[in-house]
Amino acid sequence: MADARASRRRESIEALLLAAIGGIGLIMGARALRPAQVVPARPPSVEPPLGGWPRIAEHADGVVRYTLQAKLDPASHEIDGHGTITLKNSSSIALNDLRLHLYLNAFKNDRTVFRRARVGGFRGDRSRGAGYIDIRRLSLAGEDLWPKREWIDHRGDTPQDPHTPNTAPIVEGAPDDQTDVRIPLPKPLPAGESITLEVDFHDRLPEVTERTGYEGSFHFAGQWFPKLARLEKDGRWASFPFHHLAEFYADYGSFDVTLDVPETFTIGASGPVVSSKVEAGRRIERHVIDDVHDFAWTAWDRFVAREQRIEGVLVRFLAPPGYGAAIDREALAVEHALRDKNARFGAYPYPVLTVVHPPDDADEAGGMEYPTLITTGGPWWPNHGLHEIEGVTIHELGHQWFYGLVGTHEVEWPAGDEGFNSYADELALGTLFGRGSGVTLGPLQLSTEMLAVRGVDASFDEPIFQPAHRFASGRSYGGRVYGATAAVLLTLRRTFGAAKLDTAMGVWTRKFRFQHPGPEDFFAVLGEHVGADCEAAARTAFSTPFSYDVYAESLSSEKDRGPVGYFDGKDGRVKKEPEDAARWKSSAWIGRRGALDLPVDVELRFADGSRTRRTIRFGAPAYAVAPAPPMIGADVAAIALGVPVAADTQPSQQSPSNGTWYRLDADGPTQLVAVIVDPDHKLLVDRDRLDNFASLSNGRGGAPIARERSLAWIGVLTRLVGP
Amino acid sequence: MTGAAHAAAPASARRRPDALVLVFVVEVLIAWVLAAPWSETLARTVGAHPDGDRVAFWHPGGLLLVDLAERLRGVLSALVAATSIGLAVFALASVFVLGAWTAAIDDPGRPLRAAIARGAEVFWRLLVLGVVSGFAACVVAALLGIIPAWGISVRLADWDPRAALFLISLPLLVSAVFIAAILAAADLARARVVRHDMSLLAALAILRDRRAVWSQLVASAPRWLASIGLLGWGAAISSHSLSVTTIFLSHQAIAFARVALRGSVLARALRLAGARAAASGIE
Repeated sequence: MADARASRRRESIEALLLAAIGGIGLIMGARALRPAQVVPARPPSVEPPLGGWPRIAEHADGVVRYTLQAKLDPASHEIDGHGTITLKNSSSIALNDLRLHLYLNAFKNDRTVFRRARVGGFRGDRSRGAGYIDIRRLSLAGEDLWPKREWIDHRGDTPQDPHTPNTAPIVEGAPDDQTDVRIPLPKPLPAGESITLEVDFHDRLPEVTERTGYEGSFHFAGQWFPKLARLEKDGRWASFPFHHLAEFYADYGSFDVTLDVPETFTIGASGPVVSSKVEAGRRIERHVIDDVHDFAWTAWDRFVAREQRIEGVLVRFLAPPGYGAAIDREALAVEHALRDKNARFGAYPYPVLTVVHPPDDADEAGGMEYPTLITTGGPWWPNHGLHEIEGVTIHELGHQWFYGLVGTHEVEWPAGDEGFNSYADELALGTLFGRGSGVTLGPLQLSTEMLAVRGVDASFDEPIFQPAHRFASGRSYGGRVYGATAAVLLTLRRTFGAAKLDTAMGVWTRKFRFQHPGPEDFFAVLGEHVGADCEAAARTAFSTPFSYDVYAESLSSEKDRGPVGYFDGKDGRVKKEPEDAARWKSSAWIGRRGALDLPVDVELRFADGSRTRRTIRFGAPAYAVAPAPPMIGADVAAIALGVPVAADTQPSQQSPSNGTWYRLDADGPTQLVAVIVDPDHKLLVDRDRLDNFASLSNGRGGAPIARERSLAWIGVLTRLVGP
Repeated sequence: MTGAAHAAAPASARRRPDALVLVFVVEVLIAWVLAAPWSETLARTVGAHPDGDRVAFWHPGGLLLVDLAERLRGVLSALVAATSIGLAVFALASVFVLGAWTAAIDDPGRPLRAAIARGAEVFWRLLVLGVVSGFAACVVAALLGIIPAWGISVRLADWDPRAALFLISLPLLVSAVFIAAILAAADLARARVVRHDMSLLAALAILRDRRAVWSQLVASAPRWLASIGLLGWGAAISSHSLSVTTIFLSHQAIAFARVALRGSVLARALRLAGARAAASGIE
């Protein structure tokens, strides 16, 4: 009996011990993978150019003014709108017509330019329910101009566009795509004069699909009103159909919008609320904002709202119930990004910002930018090492500068906002999360730079700076515009100097605030503030179908035994025996594919553990490396690595390159054993880093970590299926 | 099988270190064979880097890892397929190992060769038992866990996600308890097949003895927990900057401990099966 009791007691203790081992192991495993606590970083220090930053415009030259009232019927998902649109003729000539974008008609049928374009590999479910906008009246001084409208039929109009072939309309008399319309004016509008149109319109929102629409009682109204095309200085209208891959380009102006929704709904909209009331079961809010070129809003009866003042801006977060942890992450991202971008690109000028987190089933509305209103997305749970929420939030906030404050033409030059903004993301995410800006999972740190890197060879070697609709596919557009642009700019920053490029980008966003610059303006800024060779590299990378790869082709290192053999001279034949000199003749061959001319770091490693670095250029003779100066740099680099550099192991000379190869000679008292090209991964445009190293051992050491980890992991599987 | 042989020494995994080591060595060898294509492929791709393959895996930012994934995209599916086939073959062969190991634990005095012969004798019965218990576990997982959880998630789409997750996790937890009971019962049935040479149906009759199943479940649970928890120890060790040799030895020690825990579960099932059989007059 006593034995049985003792046995039971022993078993209980054993079970407790085992459970403790298991429990502690689970906790330790979870802790090992738990990401570190993240706090917003201090603002970066960005050097102004000589003479200081350019003056930042306080206000835009207001060209348009919209005063609109909109009433939402959430049951039918329709909006009744009316109001006035004022245009000032800011061009140099008299205007005979107006051009209006009716963007919501992009969702009217499956033959619109937006929905018919074969843009595989990009967001947007085009099979969802249709929506449209009807203009019921557009009058000028009492005369209704709408009956005189002329639809702009873009079929065959844009031969460079491979996605809108010239096919007949389904119904005779009107084009299938009705996103662009011309309104003849009864009399010319002289330069400098203004007109005010009265407009009545009716929206039927589509099921939410890439940007706009409804899902249940959630409504998001983007591109919901008749919008004037941008009037260029020479009097041309920058008009275009609503392409799937790009939409934004408009004049700056003022919006005074009164929104009318059921009382139970919460509204989020561009601009601050100037008045709010509840009347007869309806919530009526008036939002007024200047110096913007668009206006969007949302309404849902399940939003949970949180307001927080961040960096002097009243930020309003709207999210589904239970998303408190997501809002915490978004608030942290906004705080960090506002500090970062204010310092880099000039202060955010608006008093408010609304951050909308759409419900899960309306995630197509997420990840979009509008003036002072952004939509984000991601899971509701707390930070888990995957930085999706922070990444999307920082990206959309960044658009307040790249598209919002610098009003580039997204259709003609999408890289000017999406690409530049992706570059800015990398800087902000990098200072927030370090090298694990994409994923931090224990020792595994994945940077979002990998997205940029993948963008370089996403699909086709298309020029990066080209119109959105000219890209072969959505996949190519996404890779080149978002990823490759960021990769090129990060490469330029690392090779030509971070401080210089930061200054150049700071000048770009300050000088062109509330303006509409183009690619040539950007190249000029680079040339002025970074240098001519940076400008040249940027032109090659952005304007040509470039492809770039540097690689270590091979290396050799053998004992230098002096002259050996028979040598004939005037005194007859001399036989030279090998000397036992302690010197090595060493060379490394470095290759380049592609025309891009960038400085390339090369690290040489020697048998005694010493290392040295050189910077080489493959380019034209104008960029040839001077033989002596890099010695200092090599010392500094080696000291930074904590490895002494033997005085005699510096490369003795550089072979002039023929543009495709370069030989580095490193004769000295110790054997050259390995070479690494671009050891710090500065060249994000390099298509393959696995060919950037070579060693005498040539991999004979194997891959011990791979062997250990694969054995361990497959051991876990064999235990799972084993006895 | 006679009862006299069992009376002298109760079944214990610790009393058969030879069998324990043999099972561990078999598992390590199989894992080594299956891991070889992976490590060889990686060695050929990044082995020439002067910093070794550490740079490919743990270089902050992971750019080389991305390039590696891109480079191996073509062979990855082949590697996964080869490993899967290898694991499937091993799963089949491990039924034999299981029988032999159980026989060795059952009788500390039985020579290893005799235990292996016993493993061969009961192979088909243990195989069918494994298939039946695996199928039953899948059915329970589907009927009590996945389908109800999916149904709840659809109905709670508009709920606060934290409350929805709590409710969704309930059927998953219930199904996990039932699956654990099935696994415990399967071990008891295995013990009866090996120890008492029962037919499959007779062995499965243990399902009627709920106390026995519950007792086995209670005894197995801390061992299972420890076995899973050891993986956490392994992950924690991997996350530290230790030498590859240290990490290798630690991981293999953990693998050995997990095999030993499995042996302990089998020994417990054998003792319980023996006690129940003795109570009902079976020898």
